[in-house]
Amino acid sequence: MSNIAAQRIQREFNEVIKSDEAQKFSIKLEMDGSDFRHINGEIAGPPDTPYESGNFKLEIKIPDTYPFNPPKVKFLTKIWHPNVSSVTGAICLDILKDQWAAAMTLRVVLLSLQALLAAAEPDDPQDAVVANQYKENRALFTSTARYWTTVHAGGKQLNPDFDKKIHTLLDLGVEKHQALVALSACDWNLDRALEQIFS
Amino acid sequence: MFSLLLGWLKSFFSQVLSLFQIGSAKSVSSPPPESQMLSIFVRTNTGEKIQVQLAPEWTVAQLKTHLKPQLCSTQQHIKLIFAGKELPESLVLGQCDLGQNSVLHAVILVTSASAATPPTSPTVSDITRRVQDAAIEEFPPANCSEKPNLTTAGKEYASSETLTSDARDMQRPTRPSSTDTLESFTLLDLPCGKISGAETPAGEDVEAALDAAFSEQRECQRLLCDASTVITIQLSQDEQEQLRQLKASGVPGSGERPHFYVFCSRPCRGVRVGKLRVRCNRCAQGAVTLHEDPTCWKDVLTPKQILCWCETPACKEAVKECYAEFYFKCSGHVTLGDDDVAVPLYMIRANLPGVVCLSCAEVASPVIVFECEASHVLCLDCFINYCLSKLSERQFTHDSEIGYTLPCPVNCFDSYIKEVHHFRLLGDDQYRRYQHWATEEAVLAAGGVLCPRPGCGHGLLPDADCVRITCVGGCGFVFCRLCLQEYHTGECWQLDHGQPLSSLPRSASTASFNVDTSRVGVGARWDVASAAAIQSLTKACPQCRTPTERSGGCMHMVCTRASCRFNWCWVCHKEWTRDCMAAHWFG
Repeated sequence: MSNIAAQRIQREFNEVIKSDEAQKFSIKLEMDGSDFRHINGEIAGPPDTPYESGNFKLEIKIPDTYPFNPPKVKFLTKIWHPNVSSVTGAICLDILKDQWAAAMTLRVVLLSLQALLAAAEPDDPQDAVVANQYKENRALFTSTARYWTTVHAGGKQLNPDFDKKIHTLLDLGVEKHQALVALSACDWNLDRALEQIFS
Repeated sequence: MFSLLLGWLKSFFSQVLSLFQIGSAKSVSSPPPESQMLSIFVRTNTGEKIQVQLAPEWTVAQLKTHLKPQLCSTQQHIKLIFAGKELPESLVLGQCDLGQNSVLHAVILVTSASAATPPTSPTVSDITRRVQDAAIEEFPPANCSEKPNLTTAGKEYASSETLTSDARDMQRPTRPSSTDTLESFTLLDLPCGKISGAETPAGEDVEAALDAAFSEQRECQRLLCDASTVITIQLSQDEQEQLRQLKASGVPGSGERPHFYVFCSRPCRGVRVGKLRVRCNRCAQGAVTLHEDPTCWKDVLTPKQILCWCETPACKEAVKECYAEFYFKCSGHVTLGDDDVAVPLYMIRANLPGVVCLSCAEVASPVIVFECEASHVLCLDCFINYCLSKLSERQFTHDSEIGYTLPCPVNCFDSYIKEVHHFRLLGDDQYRRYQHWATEEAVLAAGGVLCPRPGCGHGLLPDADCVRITCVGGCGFVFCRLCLQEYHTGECWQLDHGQPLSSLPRSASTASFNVDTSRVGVGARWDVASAAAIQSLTKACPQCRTPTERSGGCMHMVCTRASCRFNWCWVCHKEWTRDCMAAHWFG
């Protein structure tokens, strides 16, 4: 890694640690040992959204050519969001691709992702299934996203109805995450989910 | 006759004697250290060139007194011109950016008095005596020993011969003397207080320079080497105003003195502080005085912006107006002559406001300031890093006017680096690489192809509809323009999902691979195995057919070739659409 990238990351690290957001535990950065190339990030779900009270872990990979090329960021925590792949955690955010500018920092990236959680952009690139649900059945999308937050991101809001449906599938020998994905994608219709899993 | 000869001998001896006196005087007290002495050349408007040793603390008046005996009679005036300005009497020479071997221009003015009474031909002994007199006049006795060594390298005046011919040449008026007198008065009457007085450009405060830049927008009152000149040219009025406010609010800035920067290709091989110089665009001589000061880079870099008076006889006689031609010299080495010029790197500036580098967030100086509206700043190290990272990914853009270049790192509108010599900062090897690819891109942009044979890569400009191409002037390889394989009849080898290549839309600029697999390495073999590997690992951009590998992320591909940038779908192998987003954005 070039000196500039390492030096710059060090600075950005300090910027995040000293920031107001970090003081309020809303964003966080951690490093694996002394390797500046692999950073773990964490953002808190914004209040008044289905992601509230959840903590979402991010994998941040810094290229050698940083800051002239964007960091590679993806969600490690599973999340139900129109702009994030529910399968891989890949994010298609413009500033992480062609709209990246050398003047941006990790703090900007974390805050942008947080903003993305607060305001999804269903008219922009999206996970088709999640986006359809977002547009056509917003209430169901919200409860699904909230349920995912509770299951994967440590959210506090419970949903006994969804729990029951998951357990039905678990009793049939379906793996837990597979059950969650199938039910979420099928608007929590047990029959359709079963059909999808066993077809 | 005999008496005349005797007279000559006498004067010869007196001269030898006086030389000894000077020599012995010198040896008694210690002369100033060699390093402090400047050896410069004085070139006259009559083509004479003499070498003079001087101390930087001399004033122009002192230098004139020393030059006079060698150049003209006491009744005449000398005008000293340097870098487009007549030097005022009280200016200390150390302030005007003179370097070893710099050339000062002397113009001998004929006053009405001297024109009326033809001067007598001085002999060498006369001159020596006058030099001595002048030295004694100019210097207090204690410093007498420090008087300059007035060797005249250009001419030998060892014998007692009269200087008739030379002296007459020098005194010959090149214009009617009345005009000359008038002219000389106008020039001498210029209010030169600013240049000569309290201000000392070398240690000049940035604030003072700013004030000077502000107050003297287009008046010829400063030297080209003054900090205020540099500021006026480098900073827009707004930037000057901002800087002034910064200074007023007590921000220390980087504490730098403003400079011009150049790339010195020989002998320094690097970025150096540059010296702005000016010469006549007709005769290429430096004996010019500017009509007005340059106030922006356009004045300096674009020809025929500012008029000047040229003192060269040929130009003086011609009625035509002369334009000032600005150029730069490297201050990193002793000048190698008139042709020793350097390219100005005008994006490089001293970091006066102390702006942090966009990339490393350090305050460095000098820095590169991009020409975008936001004036984004990179330090030189980060600039090199930026260019190298883009060069390695071949992400430079070929602009039809500028050439192969980069925008500012924030990708601002209209921020391309227009002077590609800035890429000389990358070092010789990387600059060669840059030039190589720049040439390749230029060939491709002109509708040409590059020979696909490993180690060749010869640029070819065949007819637009010609498919069978021979590498003429290169390796002689005959290849198919469509698939860049050895020439064949019939369909090309199918690379793109069972789609014959020839069925793809083809235009002149998209007719070849760009990322040349041929350049993977000279030793790499152009064999079936590597072609197969490329085929299995990559898909070709639907527009320019650059083989593209998908290393992760979503299915939305943007062509890596800077001049293509086509948005396409990895699954459909067509232009990226909203349907692709909805159906298989993440696979």
